[in-house]
Amino acid sequence: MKKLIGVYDDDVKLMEGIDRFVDNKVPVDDVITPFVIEELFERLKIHSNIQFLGFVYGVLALAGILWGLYYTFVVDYPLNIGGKPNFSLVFVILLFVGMVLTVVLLTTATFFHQDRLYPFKKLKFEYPGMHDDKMVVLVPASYKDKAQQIFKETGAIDIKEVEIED
Amino acid sequence: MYKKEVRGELILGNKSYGDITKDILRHQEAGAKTPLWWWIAFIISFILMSIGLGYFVPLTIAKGIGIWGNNNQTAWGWAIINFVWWIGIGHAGTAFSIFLLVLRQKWRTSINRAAEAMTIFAVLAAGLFPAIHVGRPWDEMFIFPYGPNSRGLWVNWNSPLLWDVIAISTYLTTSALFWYIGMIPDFATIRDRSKGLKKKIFHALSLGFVGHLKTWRRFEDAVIIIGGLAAPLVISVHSIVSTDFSVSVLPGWHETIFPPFFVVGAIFSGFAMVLTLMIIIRKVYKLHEYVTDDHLDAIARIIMFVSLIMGSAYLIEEFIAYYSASPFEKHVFLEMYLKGDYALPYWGMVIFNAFVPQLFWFKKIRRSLLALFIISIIINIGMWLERYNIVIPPTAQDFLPANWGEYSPTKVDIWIYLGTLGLFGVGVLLFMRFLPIMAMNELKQQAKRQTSLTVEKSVYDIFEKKLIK
Repeated sequence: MKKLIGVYDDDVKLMEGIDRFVDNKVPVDDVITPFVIEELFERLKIHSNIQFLGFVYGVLALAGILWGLYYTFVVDYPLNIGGKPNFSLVFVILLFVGMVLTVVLLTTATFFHQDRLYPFKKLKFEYPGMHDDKMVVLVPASYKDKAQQIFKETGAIDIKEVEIED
Repeated sequence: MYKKEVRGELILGNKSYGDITKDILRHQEAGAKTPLWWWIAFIISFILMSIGLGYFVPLTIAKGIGIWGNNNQTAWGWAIINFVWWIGIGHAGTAFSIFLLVLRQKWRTSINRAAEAMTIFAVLAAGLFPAIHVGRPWDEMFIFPYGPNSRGLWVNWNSPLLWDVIAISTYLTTSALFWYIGMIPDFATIRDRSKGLKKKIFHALSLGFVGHLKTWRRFEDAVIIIGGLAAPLVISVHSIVSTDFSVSVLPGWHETIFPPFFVVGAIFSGFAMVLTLMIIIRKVYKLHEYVTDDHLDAIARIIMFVSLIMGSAYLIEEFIAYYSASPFEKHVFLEMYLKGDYALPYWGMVIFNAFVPQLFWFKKIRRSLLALFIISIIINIGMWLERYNIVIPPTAQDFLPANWGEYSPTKVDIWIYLGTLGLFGVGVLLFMRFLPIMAMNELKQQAKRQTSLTVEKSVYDIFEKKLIK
């Protein structure tokens, strides 16, 4: 797929450019930055469902561990101590620690899965310094004229057309 | 209102993003020579590790823990002192990184990576001790709830020792993942800048990371979830370690103050170790523009505050022993500790942990690298003495005077401890040599937004300018 890229070396200029793109209704496909720029998420309305999924994992983990403790203590091997079942408040600690372990592992797995992160993954797009000090904005090649003008006016240091595999 | 800047610049020298990458990776990029001090420190650590863990640990497993100093009275000796000491150090790395993350303290960025690395190696060192202390490591599988074991029983969910195993392995997993995920973007930076085998290794480690918008968004969310869960985990893990002691009826152990006391102690010793490590990193890699005097000052002030809590805890323990009017409690706290057989380690602990850090009230001391370094080492020794006082005296002289005994470690005990120091040293040195020692992507985020907290007149001001005059 053909894309037009504009490269910035300053995040203030980058944000000016992004503002202009949004105001002029030019779609921004992606911005590759060397660090998190939270304003970009707000301006381009980028959301993720990881926090929601984390909550769901937590609820499921709590239910699963509670069931496991109930099963071992009450169903499979009930111990009666003084006529009472041996099922005390200790489960709070195990519930909490087990929940943390489950959520941490599943959240990490979700993050890796959603971004398709795995060892020796082939990079589809590379630009020198994109994880150092350069910020790369990708827009569809069909908006070339408008985008080129905005890139130039907001001080992009490099503007070119590239071919990126899907 | 809100005109005065409380905290100075986080990164000095008006660095550009490119400068940050170059400065942090300078010592590990192609052409950089491994300095002589690194080799010396590495060889010493490696020798300690090889002898301690390569010879004396197998010897312990082969012959049994009879070759340790443990005896009938003191069944938990040197090994458990070191276990609790290492766990304490291992706590602060994550505590430092995550509490400050949750509190949005931006000055954490130049320190968190090294603190997290420290955590991993300290927890590894800690985990070794209970593993060999059980005497029969090959039976350790019975601690895992994989199903009714050979006796047809499930594991005992009521035992703090079992909670300990689960909590510490969860803590190690969480800290290691938090550390690794935080490093992925920096691995991508190194991958882009290197060639040949190094590029391949960092390509694998970076998992093909590219800083797309969505990737960063998910990264932020994943990090905050893992961090947010690890923060209460820090508190729960050391509380659980303290219940190993406090659920028993031994005077000196049977105390409700133990969980907060242990957690605060862990943060105290860990912050001291962070200080030691950051001073070394700042000095040898000349990173004073990233680890500024203000950073060290801030850590010193936290240590000073925590030291006050430690001092109060010691006082409360003494008071409760007196107030309980139990002769056994009084024997431990008012006789043995204050003037008896264990007065030396007890007073050493009080002076090192409660009094020496109070020197941080003076700005001159907070600003002196040498003073900070010496005090941080003193605190680590003090915290080791604290664990000694908790583990040894109550068991050595318990309810029956006829049972009283003495404890002294054997050379095997000492060598295994030195071995774990070597393990920690080897781990930290390899980290310093081959991995990004500071979170570059987070530093870059802070490079332009230098200060977020501004107030007109701070308490700090009043102390520094008015009261002292």
